[in-house]
Amino acid sequence: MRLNALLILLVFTSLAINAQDVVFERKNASDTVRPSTGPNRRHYVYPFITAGFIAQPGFDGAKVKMGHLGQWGVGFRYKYKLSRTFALGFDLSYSVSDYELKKDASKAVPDTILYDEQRLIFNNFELGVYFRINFGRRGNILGKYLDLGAYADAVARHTYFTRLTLPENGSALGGSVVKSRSTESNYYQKLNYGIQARIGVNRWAIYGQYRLSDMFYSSYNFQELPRLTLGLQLVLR
Amino acid sequence: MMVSQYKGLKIRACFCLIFLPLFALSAQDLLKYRVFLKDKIATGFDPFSYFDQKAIERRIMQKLPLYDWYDLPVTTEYIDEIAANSTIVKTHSRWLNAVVVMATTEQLAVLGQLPFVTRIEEGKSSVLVSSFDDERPNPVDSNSALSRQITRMGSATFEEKKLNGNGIRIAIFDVGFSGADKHEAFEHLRKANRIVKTWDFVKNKENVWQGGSHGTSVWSCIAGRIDDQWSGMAWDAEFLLARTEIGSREPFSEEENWVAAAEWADKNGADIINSSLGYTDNRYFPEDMDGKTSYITRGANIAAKKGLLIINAAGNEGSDDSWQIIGAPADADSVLSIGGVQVCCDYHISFSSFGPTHDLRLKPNLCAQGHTMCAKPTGTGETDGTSFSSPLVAGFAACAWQAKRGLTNMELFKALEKCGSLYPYYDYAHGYGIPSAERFLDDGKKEPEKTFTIEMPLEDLNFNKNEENSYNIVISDKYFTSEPPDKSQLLYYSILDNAGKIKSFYVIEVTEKTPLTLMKYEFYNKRLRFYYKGYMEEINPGL
Repeated sequence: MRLNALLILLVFTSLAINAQDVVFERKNASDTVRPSTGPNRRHYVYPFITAGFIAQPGFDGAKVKMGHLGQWGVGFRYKYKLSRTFALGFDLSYSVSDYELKKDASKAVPDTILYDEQRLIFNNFELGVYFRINFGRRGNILGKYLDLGAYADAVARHTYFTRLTLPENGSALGGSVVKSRSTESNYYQKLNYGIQARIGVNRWAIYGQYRLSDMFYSSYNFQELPRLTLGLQLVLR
Repeated sequence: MMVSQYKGLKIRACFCLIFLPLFALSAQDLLKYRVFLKDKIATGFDPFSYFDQKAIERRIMQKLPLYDWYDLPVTTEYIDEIAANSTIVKTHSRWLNAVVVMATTEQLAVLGQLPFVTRIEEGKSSVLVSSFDDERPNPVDSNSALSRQITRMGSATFEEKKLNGNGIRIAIFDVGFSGADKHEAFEHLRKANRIVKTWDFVKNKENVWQGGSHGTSVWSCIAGRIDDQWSGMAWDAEFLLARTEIGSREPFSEEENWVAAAEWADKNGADIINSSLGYTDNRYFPEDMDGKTSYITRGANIAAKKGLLIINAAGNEGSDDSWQIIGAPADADSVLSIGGVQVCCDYHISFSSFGPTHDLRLKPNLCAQGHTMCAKPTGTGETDGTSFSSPLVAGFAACAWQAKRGLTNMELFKALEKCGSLYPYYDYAHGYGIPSAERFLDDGKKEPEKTFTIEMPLEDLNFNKNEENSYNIVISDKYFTSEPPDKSQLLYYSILDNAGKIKSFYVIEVTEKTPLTLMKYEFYNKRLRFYYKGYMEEINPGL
């Protein structure tokens, strides 16, 4: 076992070293060729997380609660640097859009029943493309930038979640909480698209997405859900 | 369909998404530029009225001209014409013969056409995140840190000879010296009127006792007194204190402040500049760390030409994978760059930035303790960072220069390297090691004793993959103790290519008489360099 550990160490350090208590080691870069990858190099791929909120209250029939986490996601982004000022790229992400409908008498999406809590949740795979404008001189960092682009969401799963506390009416079920998750609906479009913009400073960005496509098939005659989402993105490295 | 209600909103939202950011960016129209000028029109410059007496003395002692082209003022007519063609003139530099302006792109085009303008560099005034992070938790015995931070450099030896920085003027550039004007750690300096001048280059006023306490801690590592012990070696030196850093933000103007402060320090007779700051990936690429690209590095090199010894922290990016190397101006060849070592032992402390420069020059040049006890705005405390290694060496350098006042700044630079604990061995984490007062005063006259031998059990030159075909480093009896374990028993070795460039380097704690065995076949076409307790040997296993 000890021999194995030593062998692993030898392979790991690429050195034939015996009986050593190495307290410090350092290998220099093998050459001084400029790398082509990095935050302000030709290519850069970086992971990010997203947290946003629905930025419109909606209209009668599909009013939503504002101020709670309405969208979150995780993905990675590729950037191709065209010049010091311009870049373009794409990102792939998994995101969840969560519309919590208000308990409002006008509610009609996807039904007219008023629950204590009712949420339309969409799990999406998202592809985004963008054109980036960078501002100012900078080192090997993302710096300050404005992204303008478009996105398309493929809805992988839709859930209509409801929660209802039954009234205390003397029955055995009175006062109990009934939760339901319906995933078999077919009133929603499987593909959505829209435009997006980001203003970023290094690891942080404020983003906005505006959905151009309709969320529901027209045949259902549903009020559309709010189209504008605003939020924050954090680059994870 | 009921979506028609969204149409107006849709348009408004699109408008906001696309155009609001552009509105936000309209302030960018006015950008900062550094306008470099072709020449200076001589105007009867009088060095005796411009320079402090100490600055004149420094030039005379180092056989430098009393003034040169760099010292001449920027031509007023040029400044006036640039002012007429820009929005604001922020500052100007004699040394770099440059004027810093805020201008629109239209004004920029006009500036570029002026016959006396050689080139224009874009500056920047945006907010960036500090590249130095000195506050790191590190559970070390504080008494140990304080007692070792100067004694390990041989402070007692300098003390015996009454070398305490007397007659040496040190300029410190930092973010501010909050609390230092009343702090008891500096009482001896205040009583002896050792604070010659102060200037805040950020706010253009004298008061530097605000802005941040980093400078307070740094100063205490040069000349402070903590718990009845000296926390720095140059406690009788004179000081020029300058605020050049803005704080947690790092706009490019800090580099302009630094160069302006260096001119001010030169004018006011400084001998040494300590600057515990550095600029890395927020502004630069690793390939810019070539000793000539950054504005601050160019300024530092000119300061060295004026006879000042520039000492700068290597940086705290050693464990930051996105950078790792020294920052500017520690990349300048005339700047003595200082890395950090552990309190317990003479090897690299994890955060200390590595060399070499992009053009493969040795950096850092020396190192000192990277975890120190120092003054805080109120009281004292421990802190980590090469920001504090640098002033420890600045204090040492002041004492050393006091001892050998006839040295020029670059002769002193070389002498300091030569008195490093590892000299003539060096690597890109420790440079030449920790400066030693004994070695400095000894002047390298003491012949090093052979402390180890390199044995080769089998004289086989065929590089067979045979375990016996190896090099064994065997420590001499006189230099080896097994009980109790001695943390100072460190073997340093480097693997170099045939051109002499270090490819990798190691430090080994010597716990047995043969601490290292290297298989010869691994080092085909390479060279090996070993160092142990003052003795270095290099071998070439063969081509």
